[in-house]
Amino acid sequence: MTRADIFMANQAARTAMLRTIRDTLASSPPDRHSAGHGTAPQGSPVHGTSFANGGGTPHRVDQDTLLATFQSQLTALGATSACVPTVAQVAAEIQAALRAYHDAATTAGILSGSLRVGYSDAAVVNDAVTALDAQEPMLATLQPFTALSRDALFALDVGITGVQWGVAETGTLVISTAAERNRLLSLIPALHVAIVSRSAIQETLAEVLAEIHEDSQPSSSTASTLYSASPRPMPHRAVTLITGPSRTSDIELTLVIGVHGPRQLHVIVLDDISPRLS
Amino acid sequence: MPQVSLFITCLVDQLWPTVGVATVDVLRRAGCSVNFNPGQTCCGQPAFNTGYRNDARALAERWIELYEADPAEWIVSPSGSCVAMVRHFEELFPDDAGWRDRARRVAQRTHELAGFLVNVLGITDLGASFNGKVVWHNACHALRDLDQRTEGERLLRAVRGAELLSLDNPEGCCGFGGTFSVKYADISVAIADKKIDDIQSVEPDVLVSGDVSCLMHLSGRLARRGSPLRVAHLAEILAGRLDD
Amino acid sequence: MIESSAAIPFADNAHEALADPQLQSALTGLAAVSRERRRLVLASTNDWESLRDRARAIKDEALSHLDRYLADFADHAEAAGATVHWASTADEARAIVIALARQYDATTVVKSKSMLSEELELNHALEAAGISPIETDLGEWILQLAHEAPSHIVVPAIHKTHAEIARLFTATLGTPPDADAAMLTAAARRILRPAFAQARMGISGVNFGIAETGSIVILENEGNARLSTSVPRVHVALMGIEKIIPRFADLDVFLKLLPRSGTGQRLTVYQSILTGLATPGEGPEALHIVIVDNGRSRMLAHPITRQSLACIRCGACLNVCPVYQQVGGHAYGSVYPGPIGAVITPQLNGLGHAAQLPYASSLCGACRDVCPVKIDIPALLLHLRAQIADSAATSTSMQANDVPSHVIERLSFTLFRWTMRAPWAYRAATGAARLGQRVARAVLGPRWAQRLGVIAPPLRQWTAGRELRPLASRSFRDMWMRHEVPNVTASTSETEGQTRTSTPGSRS
Repeated sequence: MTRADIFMANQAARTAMLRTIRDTLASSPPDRHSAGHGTAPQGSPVHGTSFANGGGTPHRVDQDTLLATFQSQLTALGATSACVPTVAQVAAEIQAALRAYHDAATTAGILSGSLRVGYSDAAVVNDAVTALDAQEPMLATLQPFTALSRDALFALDVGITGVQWGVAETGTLVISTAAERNRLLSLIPALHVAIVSRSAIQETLAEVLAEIHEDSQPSSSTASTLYSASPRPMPHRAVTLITGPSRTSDIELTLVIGVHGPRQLHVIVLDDISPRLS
Repeated sequence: MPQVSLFITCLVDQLWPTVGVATVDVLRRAGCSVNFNPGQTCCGQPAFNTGYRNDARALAERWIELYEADPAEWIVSPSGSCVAMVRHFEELFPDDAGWRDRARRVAQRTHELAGFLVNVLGITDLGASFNGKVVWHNACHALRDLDQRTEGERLLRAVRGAELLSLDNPEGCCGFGGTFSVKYADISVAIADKKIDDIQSVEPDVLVSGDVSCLMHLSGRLARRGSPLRVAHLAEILAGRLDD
Repeated sequence: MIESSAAIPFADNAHEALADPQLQSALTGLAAVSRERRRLVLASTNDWESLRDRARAIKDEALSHLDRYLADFADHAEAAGATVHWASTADEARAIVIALARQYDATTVVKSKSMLSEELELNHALEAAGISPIETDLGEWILQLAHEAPSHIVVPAIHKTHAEIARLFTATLGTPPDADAAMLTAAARRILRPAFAQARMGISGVNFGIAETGSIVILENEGNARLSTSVPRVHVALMGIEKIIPRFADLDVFLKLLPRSGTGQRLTVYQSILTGLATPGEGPEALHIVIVDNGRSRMLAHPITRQSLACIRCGACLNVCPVYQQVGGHAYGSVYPGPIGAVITPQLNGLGHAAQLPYASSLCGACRDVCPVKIDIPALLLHLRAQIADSAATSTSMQANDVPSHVIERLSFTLFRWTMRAPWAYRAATGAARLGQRVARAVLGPRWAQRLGVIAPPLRQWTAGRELRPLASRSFRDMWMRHEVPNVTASTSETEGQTRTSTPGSRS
């Protein structure tokens, strides 16, 4: 079959499937037993309101509590974190984290030799990496993402990336490929070091999702339409929410940390909120 | 004085009549006058649960007609599953709004015993007493279909001298399930065994429930396992008629 | 209605399962852990009920306008660079995936967990076409090594104890026999890593498809779905038509419900929200979304069955079901076991094929209690039972052990109805039964019920494991007629001058 044939066949399949669904719905009896769970909108769906906010005013948590919650959630997930005030100290913190990982992994027998490190194209990451001592003996390689072949990527021990948003109530990091190329560096190496600005930490996931979605809304969209008339495709094409290091309970429900994703997660919060001590 | 028509249910009528006598006692103690409508037979639940809706509908129509004409204000039964069936009657009339209305109206007057005492009469203390350790099995239809999550327990807590013990899995099904108990007898018995192990681990003096179907199934298994554990219907404890 | 081949012998499967000590041990563990997890979830989530209501309302809206939302989803996904394929049947879906694998020269594909792909028997079809599928979810990979089917929607290898898995790994991979769960998992990571790096195609499922943006959402804990969908050149995403939710903002409700309901977690470790194609150089060059019907649209035909499609595959109903807790997932003979399986398998594969399943329930309702989208599974079971009882073509439906065939059962209930139509018939029948009981006891002795069971299967079934409580020598009705029940007057509809005191809304 030619490309055109395949396309036509697929369009025909689409038309047929949608018609089947439409006809089946049209000929079904009315739903008398909604069993008391919120009535679905009748008729046109276009007057649905957003279901996401269950009412109630969002309560504003103060910044200190927000940070404290974020960090305690990370700890509960088996991740580690630190909060530092300057980029120079981000570099120092990265250095410390790498050293600690190197020693622990060598002792545990899962690492022999020195670390192969890759880093993303986020500005804060580049600034911090510049300040790292590249001659540090525990570092075998320190390379930007663009310099890495697939084999080199899979051989990395550490990936350093930025993070676009943090969620305090769950300790979640939210990354988007629209801002930097952090998708694979946050996934393949056994240790993920993530740098997030304190100002990017929100309290709830709903708030972050709303921001992600807002970026694609024309400014005239209102809450009363189901969705905007002709939405642009989301600029955030690949959003990943990361809540702790990878894990499984597939073997007799026994929790094991570290499966196919990173085994360890270290989060460095760059405090861009607190006034600087001059 | 609230006027109650006793919906005895076939299992209680035929297998456990003392539960019926105890139910009458309890209702009188609670200040009701009790009638018995001799025209009653069956609510049709076995037919409905096995998929024979035409048969179930015929019996539902009969039941509705009978109790529509019954002058008592309330219809009370010592069986959660039968009352749940009555509440489901309207599903048997998908194309008949008239029958659905009639079904709904009569269902609103129909209550299971514990629910009636606690939620309609507002009574939890019937002045009953029982010396011993009690385990309460909240039958699934009463628990979930009728949403009676705490009524039985509250009634038992008011019984002087009764010590109410906690189970590991208090809301677990006993495994009866109507025709399930014979269609899948081995699974039904295995579920009963889990329930009984849980019950026996707390060493009660009596197992109490609000549904004789559960009691029939569990006592049958207990007996086969050689256990001396007594079973009783809630009405029997509340009426002090345990060893009739 | 497509009738698949042999009927699922649930009763026989269940019998075997009850006698399997390893399985019983695994299931007991699952039940206890699930109960504790649920307790913790309810204690820490103060708007659980309102979340369920909202989720159900969203699903109801999506399903009752499914054609519109599916069209929107496809249009928006395509605008963002995805290619959307439409498959009515399993055959079509398999053909599409194989064609894509050939198009991209993929001789091996990495797969993350997709119940839909199991339903489609995709691995079998890929292998037959010379393409090698590699499961990467730990539980699914264990099953691939063991050549077994999944037995649970969320923890597919739950039926295997740690010891069994360790033995399997030793035999197939050479891991030490005393390896603990961490070591076994490390072995999986090590062995599967090259597959992620080398496979040209990754195949995943989809948890939610968002109509408003054309996004697909994938939840996981291990990282294998992220790897399968971002490393290979091509990502093929399999999505059932029912996975649609209308708006991006709706996602939050489901992210609050699915992880908690499924595994007791607040959030799974990873959620991927993928909209078309991402920046070049990081992620696949092509995203192909295959939208699959395979019998789902039939369920839209009636409001009662339509709710089956609201399922978000959390597995909570399995965990809490007293029947699943006793027999496990394989007994159901289908990719979807437990309560939800008992209602969708007959609808997807035909009533005749799966006729035993709707009866394999005590109707306790625990599933309905825990379902995050409030599917009324008992109502669905009763609906299917009514269809099966009505259907003439299900002569195989009741052949569970020695239960009477369909014809005898139907006759029995007709007899039941005639008996219950009038008090005199009821009294006559029960009187006769009581007489029969006396005779049987006299003739057959104390074990009369078991002996009678030889000719009456229900008696045999009952007495196999339980004593039978006999009919009382005098029924309540008898006692009342003899005035042995004090203080109970007769209520008759002919009582003159007596009116009911009115109760709110009670009657006209």
